[in-house]
Amino acid sequence: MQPESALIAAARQGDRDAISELYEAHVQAIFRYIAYRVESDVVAEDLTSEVFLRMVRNIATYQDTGAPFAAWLYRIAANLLTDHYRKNRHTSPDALPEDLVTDETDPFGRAAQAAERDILRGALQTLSPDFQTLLILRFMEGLPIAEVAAALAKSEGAVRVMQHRALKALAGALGADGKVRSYLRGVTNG
Amino acid sequence: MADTQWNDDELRLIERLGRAPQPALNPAQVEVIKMSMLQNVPTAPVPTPTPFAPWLVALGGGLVGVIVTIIVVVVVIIQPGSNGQVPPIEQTLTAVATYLPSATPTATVTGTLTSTPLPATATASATLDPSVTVSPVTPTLVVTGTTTAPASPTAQGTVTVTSTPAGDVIIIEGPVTNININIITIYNFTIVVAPDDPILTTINIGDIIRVEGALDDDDGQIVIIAITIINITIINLPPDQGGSGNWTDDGSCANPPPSWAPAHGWRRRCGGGGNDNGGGNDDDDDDD
Repeated sequence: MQPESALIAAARQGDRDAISELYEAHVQAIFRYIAYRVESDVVAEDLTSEVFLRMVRNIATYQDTGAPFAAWLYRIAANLLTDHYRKNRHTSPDALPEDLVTDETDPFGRAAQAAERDILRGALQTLSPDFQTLLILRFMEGLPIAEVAAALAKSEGAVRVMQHRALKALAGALGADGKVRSYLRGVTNG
Repeated sequence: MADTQWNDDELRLIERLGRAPQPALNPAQVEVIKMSMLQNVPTAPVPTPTPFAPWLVALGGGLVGVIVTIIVVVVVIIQPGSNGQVPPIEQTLTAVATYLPSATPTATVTGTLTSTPLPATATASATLDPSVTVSPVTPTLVVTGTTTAPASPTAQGTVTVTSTPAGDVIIIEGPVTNININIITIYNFTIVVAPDDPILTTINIGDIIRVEGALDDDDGQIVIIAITIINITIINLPPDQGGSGNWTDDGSCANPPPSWAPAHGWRRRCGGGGNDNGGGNDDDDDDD
């Protein structure tokens, strides 16, 4: 496997193999990021597809600033989500997912996960877009401060401060409707 | 996250977020999105056109910095001026031409005529044949130009120096500047005359003579062995009315001196009253 910088350079020249490798390296993370911020996985799938369409259309102008390539993709996704929210103001953040794409075969387990995910997604979507991005990338995806900062186009110091406020806001969102206790207890773990 | 201080509530929330359900696309969905994406991959970017045609860039690159120095040997025929002072001289010009490549290749040839007897300088312009491919090889030069060969020193008479390519026969016409027994000097050319040549008894310094002879290189000095010598001074003397080169006062006033001859008292005697009996006392003869 080539280094990502080499893949990017090749992709900028229209190398389809390099573009495919970049896509496969990042598509699931982008989908997870989007899925927690929209009302359904179908919408998340559409938006994920749009993220990579924009990638191939704009990669020729991509400039390697030293930030991870994923940060560029997350910014594309964040912009798409902003547009999506603007167009779908009447969509309920608590709408039930239309499907779940997991390897879980246990129907009870799937239901439990769906319930937990629904609670978390509902709470996240009450927060600001930056807080959502920070919480998903920093604590669900486990990215380091630097990458989160690059995705948010903020300094690392700002992100360090933001993460406390974001957690506090999420706790408030979960507790506002009595969900926090059960969430923190862990639905799937009983 | 070890560099951050978390409280218990934050740690519990962080732990739960880390164990949150991870939605994922199934392989079929991944492939569908991938195909859709690849259909939108633009074709290979068009290379940025250069401001000049590639062949011109290559040619320019080959030209820049290439200076071709050409040794040109040109046979120059020096034509005489309208005053006839400098007769045709066939000499060889060895010149160095510096060729600077450009869109209109030209070269300037300068050099010095190295042949003798007269020093001469020559300049010529050369135009490079445009059909010649410009490359670090010796191109063909077509040389045209004019040369000048000043006559020096200034001639009082006529100096004629004609030499064949072999240099066998030379003709010199000019004033005699020195006579040393049988060696005559004309314009610094040493001319050796046969010791018994009768011309030696008649020529004087300042006489204009015509010498036909052969060149001989005597220790680097050009010596002309005279074959034929003619005293042009005598030939050019104005003829007298009597057909002789001399006028003699025979005592008769009917035999006046020519204008170029000294009167030796003839005008004093025969001028004035026109008495030709010899008894006149006129003293207006300025030739005495």
